[in-house]
Amino acid sequence: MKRALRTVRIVLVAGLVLTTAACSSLLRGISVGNIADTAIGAAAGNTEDQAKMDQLSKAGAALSTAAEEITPEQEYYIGRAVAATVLRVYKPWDGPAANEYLNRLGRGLALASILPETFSGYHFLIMDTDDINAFGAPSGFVLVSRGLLRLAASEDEVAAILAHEIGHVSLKHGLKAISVGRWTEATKQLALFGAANSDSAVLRNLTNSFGDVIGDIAKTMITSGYSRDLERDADLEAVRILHDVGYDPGALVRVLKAMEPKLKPGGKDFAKTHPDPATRIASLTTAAQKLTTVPPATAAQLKARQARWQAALGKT
Amino acid sequence: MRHTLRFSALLLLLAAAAAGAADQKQMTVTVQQTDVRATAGYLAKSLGTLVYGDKVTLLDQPANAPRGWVKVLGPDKKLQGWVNLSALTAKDAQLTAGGNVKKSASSGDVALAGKGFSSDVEAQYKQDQKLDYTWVDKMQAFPVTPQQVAAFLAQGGLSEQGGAQ
Repeated sequence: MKRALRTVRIVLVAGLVLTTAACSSLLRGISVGNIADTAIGAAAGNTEDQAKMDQLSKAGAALSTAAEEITPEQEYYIGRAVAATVLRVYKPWDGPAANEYLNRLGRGLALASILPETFSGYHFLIMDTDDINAFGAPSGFVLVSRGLLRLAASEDEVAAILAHEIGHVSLKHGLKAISVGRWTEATKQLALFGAANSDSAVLRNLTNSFGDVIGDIAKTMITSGYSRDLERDADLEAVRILHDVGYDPGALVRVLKAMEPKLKPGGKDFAKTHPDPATRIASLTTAAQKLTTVPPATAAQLKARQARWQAALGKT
Repeated sequence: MRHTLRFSALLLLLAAAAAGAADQKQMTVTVQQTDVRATAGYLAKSLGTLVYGDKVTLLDQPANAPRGWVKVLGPDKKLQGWVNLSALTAKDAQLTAGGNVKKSASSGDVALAGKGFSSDVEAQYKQDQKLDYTWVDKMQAFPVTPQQVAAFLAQGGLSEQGGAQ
């Protein structure tokens, strides 16, 4: 009897241990917001900028209803349509070497973003215009003008431009431009379409809703611009990406300084859709200065960056 | 008496095992394609590929792993390695609500059929707006491989998780 009781006691303890271990789930509360908290907190360090970086991560987590509900697949179709709409305004620049360089650089930067993978990945294209402009469409369709690329004096500065747009994508700023009413209607049409997807009238209504959603995003990106807060968040995320990949976090401030005298008041490009560079520089300088803890690049590495940048973008 | 006790203990162990199985979190792949890596990082060796809609079992998320990386078991219950959370969702309903997909084994791509903002809606919208997607398709087709991105980063003294500056 004693032996039996001892056996039961051992088994009971083992059972309790197993049950406890099993009930403490491996993962709780996984979200992009959590990733952002970890990444940005780690990069920023224990400074005043920590608070700003924390705000940024909260912004990433506290997405609008549409941004929360849209699946990566749907975001992909939205991103494609927004990119096609932008390319109605600006023609693409058919420079294979330059576009390929931009894609190698951009995809490398995206690996360090809070959203390193989108439905089909990140894609980059140069727009054939002297305007100073760039767009980070949902799902990772990034378009940058020749005029903006000409302002960059190094690969680090081109990286800063792309990292800012990756920031808009990863923080889902495009989706946040969708009005609540628009998304409510789209949700209704999506539900109807799910129930009767062979009905052409329902497809028509859903396509109209899709068009309205694209209209909201395109209007914000091309005409009115994101809010100052969203631009600041994209700037801060860009600085963090630059730091984490190993580029100079101060490169974004240098690009903004180069941009300042070139923007024409009343212009249809960055002058219209972005806050004044001086304002952005002021809020970025301190953040960038705090993020300089990685070992400096060797002379050979810097030379390699400069050589490939000049070879690829020297003629833009 | 002895048999009763042994039986009770066995039941308890079975219950514990069942609790463990139920608690193994299932997640679904939400991107067209993602690699399962030997270690936590995009530049690590690829052990295999997962595609949109694949179900994986979450095995581990060590506190010291690089941000966003988790260890998973593939749908075949053999493929095991590291995947970034940005390629996964715990909300299975999202996929069924947003898009009814079929996998195309030949292209490795995902053929999108029917629901939500999908290829059907895009085709209709493209026709309505007379929108030209030529360069959007070209953007997606730029021939840049993960190996080329890795080589690009290495040449410049850069890394996905912190390089030179």
